[in-house]
Amino acid sequence: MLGQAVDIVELVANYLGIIIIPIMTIILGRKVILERRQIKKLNMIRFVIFLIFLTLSWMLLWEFLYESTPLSAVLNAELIILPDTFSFFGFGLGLMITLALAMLTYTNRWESLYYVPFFIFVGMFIVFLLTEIAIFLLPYVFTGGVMAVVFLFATAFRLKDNSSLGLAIFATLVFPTLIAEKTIVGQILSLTYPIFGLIFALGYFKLFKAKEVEENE
Amino acid sequence: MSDLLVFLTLEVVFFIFCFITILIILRTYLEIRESIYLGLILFFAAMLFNSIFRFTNLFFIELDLVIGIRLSLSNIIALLIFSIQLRFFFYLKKLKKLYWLPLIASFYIGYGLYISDSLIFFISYAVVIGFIIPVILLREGRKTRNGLAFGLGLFFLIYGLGKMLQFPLVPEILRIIGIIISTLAVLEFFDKFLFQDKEEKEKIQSAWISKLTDKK
Repeated sequence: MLGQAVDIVELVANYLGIIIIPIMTIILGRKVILERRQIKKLNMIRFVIFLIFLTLSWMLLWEFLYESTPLSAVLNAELIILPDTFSFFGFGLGLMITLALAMLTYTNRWESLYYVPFFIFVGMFIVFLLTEIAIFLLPYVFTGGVMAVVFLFATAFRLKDNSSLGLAIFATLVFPTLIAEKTIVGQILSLTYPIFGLIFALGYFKLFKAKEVEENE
Repeated sequence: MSDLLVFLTLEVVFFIFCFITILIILRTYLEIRESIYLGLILFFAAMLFNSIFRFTNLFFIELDLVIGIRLSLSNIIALLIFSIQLRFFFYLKKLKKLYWLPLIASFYIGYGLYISDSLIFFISYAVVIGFIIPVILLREGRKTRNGLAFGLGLFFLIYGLGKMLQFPLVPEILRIIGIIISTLAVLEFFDKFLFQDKEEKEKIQSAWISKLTDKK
């Protein structure tokens, strides 16, 4: 009975994710372009958030194709969905963590660390291309994920930054779904994060009021 | 026996100069507190360890520990040396965003040696850092009149050349020349004598001449 419920929630979550997350990505992308036109400068933080959602859309697309369509019969799991290797999904997962860490260093102005997540990720990918070994990927994803969430919360409260806080909450909701995907808790969270994501992407998530942010600046 | 004595003497000379260089850099670090000097201390400490390995090798004592397939203690020290050389280059070029690249690249190259027998990446890395970086450092040091950069560039180049040549005694002599140059560089020898500011020099000379004429 519970198994059936998990399957139903999983199906709904997959459909919800595949519809809402790309919409969020488009909204964020549009915001980036509009802002770029207005101030004639690229808002790096907004751009990185857009890239994070673009990567998430990429991951959800492959997850959806593999789990919710009959294509799973013809698609190779190792190439498409396995998270512990550089499959399409695994690559997206690693890249998402990398972008989150990069955003963290950028928000905190840790200049010497700006590119470190990219160096680590590209290094892992080169090692994988040459040897087919990806043993660092999952430890990197988990360590990087936890670090990103913790530091994003810390940064958000320190700088009173809505973007960091929104992303931290979003990551907190997404992260358990990757670890405990096949449990009822994981599936409920799978339903929750697209809804929160939509609120965040539409710009309605503003815990810190403009005055507080200005005061801090 | 005489060969052993010559090698031993050269190694002792290298060791002493290396130690002196570390002490001078340590003194500078305590005055200025710039992190790059800590890197340089680590660099020369790695050289010192390398010298100890060579020392023990002379008496047929193998201290070099092999981890995995090809990764050895001396390879780790070499990777550390390359990392600091590259970091020093980025520091001089003020490429702050690339500061961690050498360490990460060294880690992956080290991992490559751990899992496979291929030396291709290690050698490529060594060639790039051993020859290209010193040449750029020499040029930059001359252009910006930075004696430390010039001296260390010269040292890296001579030391790298010493690693490549297989003639008897030549590598050892090149190592000694290299370490003496690096000691001179940290003692600001090149700043004082090679890159002395012309205007400053003229000022000193004119003051000295005017003092002489005043006495008359």
